Amino acid sequence: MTGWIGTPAKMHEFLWPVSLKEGIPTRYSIQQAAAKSWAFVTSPPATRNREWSVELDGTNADSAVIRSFLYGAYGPGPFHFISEAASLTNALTPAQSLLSGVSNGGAVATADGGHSPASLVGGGLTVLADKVPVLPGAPVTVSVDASGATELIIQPRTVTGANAGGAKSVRAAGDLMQRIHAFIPSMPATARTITISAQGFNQLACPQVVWAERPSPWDVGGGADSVILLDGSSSFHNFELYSRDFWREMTLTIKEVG
Amino acid sequence: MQQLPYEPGPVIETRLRVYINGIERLHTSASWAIESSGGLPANLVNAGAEVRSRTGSITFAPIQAVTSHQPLPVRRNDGWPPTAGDRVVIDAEVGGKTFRRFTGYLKTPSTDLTTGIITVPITDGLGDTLERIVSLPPLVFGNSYARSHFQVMRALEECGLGVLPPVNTNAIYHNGMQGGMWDSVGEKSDAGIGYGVGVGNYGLNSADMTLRITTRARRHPILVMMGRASNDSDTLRLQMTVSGVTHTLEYSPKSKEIRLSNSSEGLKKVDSYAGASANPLICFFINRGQVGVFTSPSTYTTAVTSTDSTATPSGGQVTRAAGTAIYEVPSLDYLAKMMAEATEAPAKFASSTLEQVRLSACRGFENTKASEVINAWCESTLGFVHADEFGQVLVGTRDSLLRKNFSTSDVLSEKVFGGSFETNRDLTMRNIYIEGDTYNIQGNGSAAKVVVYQPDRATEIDKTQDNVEFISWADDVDVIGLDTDLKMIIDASDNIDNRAAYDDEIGSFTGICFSDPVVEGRMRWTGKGYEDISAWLETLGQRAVKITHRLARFTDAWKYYTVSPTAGVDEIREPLRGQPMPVLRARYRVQWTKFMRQGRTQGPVWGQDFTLKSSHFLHPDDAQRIADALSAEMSQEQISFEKLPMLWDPRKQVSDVCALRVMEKVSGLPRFTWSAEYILTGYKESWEGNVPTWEGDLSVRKVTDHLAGKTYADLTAAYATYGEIPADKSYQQLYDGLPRRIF
Repeated sequence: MTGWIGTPAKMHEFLWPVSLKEGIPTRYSIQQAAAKSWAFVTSPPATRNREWSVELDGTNADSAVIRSFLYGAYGPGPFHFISEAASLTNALTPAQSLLSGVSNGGAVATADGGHSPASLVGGGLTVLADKVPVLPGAPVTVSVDASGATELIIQPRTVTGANAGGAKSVRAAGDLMQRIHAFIPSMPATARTITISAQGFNQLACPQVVWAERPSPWDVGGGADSVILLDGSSSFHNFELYSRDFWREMTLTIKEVG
Repeated sequence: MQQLPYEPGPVIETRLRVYINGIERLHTSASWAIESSGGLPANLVNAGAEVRSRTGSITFAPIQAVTSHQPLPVRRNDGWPPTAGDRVVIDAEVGGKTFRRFTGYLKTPSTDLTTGIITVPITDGLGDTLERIVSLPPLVFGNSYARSHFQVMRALEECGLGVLPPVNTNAIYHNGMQGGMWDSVGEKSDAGIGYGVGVGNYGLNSADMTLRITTRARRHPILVMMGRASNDSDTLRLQMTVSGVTHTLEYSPKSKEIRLSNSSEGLKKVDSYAGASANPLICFFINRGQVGVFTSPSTYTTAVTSTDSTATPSGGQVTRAAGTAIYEVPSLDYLAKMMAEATEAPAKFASSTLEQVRLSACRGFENTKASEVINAWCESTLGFVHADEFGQVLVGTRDSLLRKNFSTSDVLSEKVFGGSFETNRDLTMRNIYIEGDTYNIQGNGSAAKVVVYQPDRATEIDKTQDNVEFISWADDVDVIGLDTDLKMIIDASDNIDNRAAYDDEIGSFTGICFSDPVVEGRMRWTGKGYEDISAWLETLGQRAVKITHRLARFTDAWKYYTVSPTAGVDEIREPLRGQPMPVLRARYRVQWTKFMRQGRTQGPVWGQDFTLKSSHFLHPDDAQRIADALSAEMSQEQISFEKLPMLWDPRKQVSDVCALRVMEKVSGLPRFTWSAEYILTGYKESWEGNVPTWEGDLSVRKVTDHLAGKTYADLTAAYATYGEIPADKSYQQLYDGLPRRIF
């Protein structure tokens, strides 16, 4: 799997993908008596505690940027990280995709027969996610499940937060619970992040951002906004005589902090 | 026991919040521990001082997710990093309820230079607070109840942990009423009735206790009277009479209403008390042209008055106050500071049923650390003193713990994570002795009539210098109410004639006479214009005095002596003439003598003997009861649990009594096999993030076997005579009705 790492000002792609493993450590600490165990919850919902193990295989040119990261040339961090899987399933962070901290309503059945544990009710203009990284020139599709006369708005922003071009706004057709999609085929050259907001809804759930021109089925967010590159190792395995490329296998550990 | 519900399911979500100076700061880990001896003397548990501080440590999380440099070691303006002396409060939230875990102060933080992580030791500050030097005089308690812990409560009061602010030279009247209704400054003219029962009420007076105030020159312009509300039902009334006008303050804890009035101007103020304390210190003051009341520890309101506040109060009266005091203060700022510093939760006492005698006297402590006063009491009476999670000090005796019903019970297989129990033969005692001092009081206190010093012969006055002598009382003697006004029997040059007063044999007197050059053996008092004589007495602490005689003008040829005259003294009865001088008299002379008591129960032959030194705190009858109780407890093998790790339970506090039960299932039904009741003498609590671990020190007081077969011996133990065995019960009912085997 490939992926992008960096800051919204510049997200760097690293190549070539071999595998990506994502680990979510336990949320519990168990204390054991003779006849009973007690589980203490160690972290609140949507805590940043994921860890990824990334394997790459590439030439010096392909891996130069990632090696610069490992040496601290891009600063201590933390960085944004969107894996390729996240970019095609849901580039939001898990907290943003679960409306953590934003929701004010209870569970709701979604348009495709699924279920969301939290939702937003009321219909006032609400920012669902802010500072979601996007690639300039690349397409973005934003989707939500909503009922009521919903208006979904994507506002591209520059790195400073100023508007980069006009907002894209999509209105729901009808009042029943449906999945609404808003799509920008190519982000403006100055756009670095988007702000997603909605208004006019009765009940809203399952926000999703996909770096593609078509939507995907909803998934919990796979993006991360606060990671560090913990360690990396390279194993050199090939040398191209004529292009003078050294092929190396790299293993990286990316850890979410904060 | 923190009285909040805690019924955890198998998944427990807890959250620890650490507040530094009121602002929440994120931690990575925190831990604290308190140990006490649970009222057993230190020699029995090898554990050091009796006054225990709760201490621990916090490791703070860095401010940012990624830290790129070590934090600045000096505090910035936004209150970070922490510094020594910052106030720390730690709360744990579980099940929607908040339990206090720690209240105290930070000691010096340290920052790791490679990781930048800040670690800070914390303390509840009790040990440091009790380092204050206090002096408590020896006392004879007149018409009041007094218990052994009276001096402990006084020492705590001098450290700012009592119901009233400390005694100082500004105090015109001061009586804390805890542990005994005895005044520190001034006198009360009737006994009042002292209540000191239970934990949760403070000792207070009943109704209309009259205060007698000694007139003295005023130093400061503002008069203040204060008293502590003891509970939430009794109405407090303070009255002070100044220049004929009686000022009355009433406080009703039910309505939280304060009413201030005086006899010449009627009702002056009605206010509502806004502070949060359950036992507020209620205070009113008279300033120049103003009267005022405090409506919270930090705010006061005033009204205009025409009362003069510069006269000395002539008297006062108090109803249902826990402690009352009258001070004079230089400014309202000074008073506001005093009120703000007064503790919101004064030290409480858990009463003892073994101490039943009203003590009549106690010895003094001079320039001693408060912790030493308290340790002396703990060592003597099986007492304990510690502060709880809120910083509230609790004083109590071990027997109050042995009487308590247990407050929670835990099933061992569900809540205990490890540990072991031992039967301690080392702590089993054969004989318990209590060795102490008891009082023998001379004098009835009405006046200074008891002779405490008189030399056995007159001394010749050295004409060239001041004649100084130092007198100190014997180690086992206390002198109380010494008359320090050393009066010359007759001093013609200064027109002083105390011959009639000397003959009354009340008070301290001295005399300088010369030997008659003509008639041998005749001691004559010095004449007007011929000699200048003077003498004075200075007290040197509680145990010594310095007496100076000075002969300033004299006739060279004559010899002068410290003696009472024999000539020209028809007013003086013969036995008092020609006596060596000075004679010092006091209201009481207390001779302390040793006693020894032995506990009634004797332990096994291989047990050790133990002697508890009770100093002056216990009356011999109380000592006998305590020796009996201790010997009954310590003559058997003790079961102890070594530092048991258990499921965290924030309700449990030190000195709680809880039970641990062992259960099994028989035919599907649960049955208790044995249970142990224990006193929680200490615990250690550690938090990693939001996950607590807890380890308790359990001192077992009773083990019950629920299954052991009952024998004929149990029957005879339960019924003294055959006739008492109920005739209408079946054998099975009788068997079931016998008490369970108790060890």
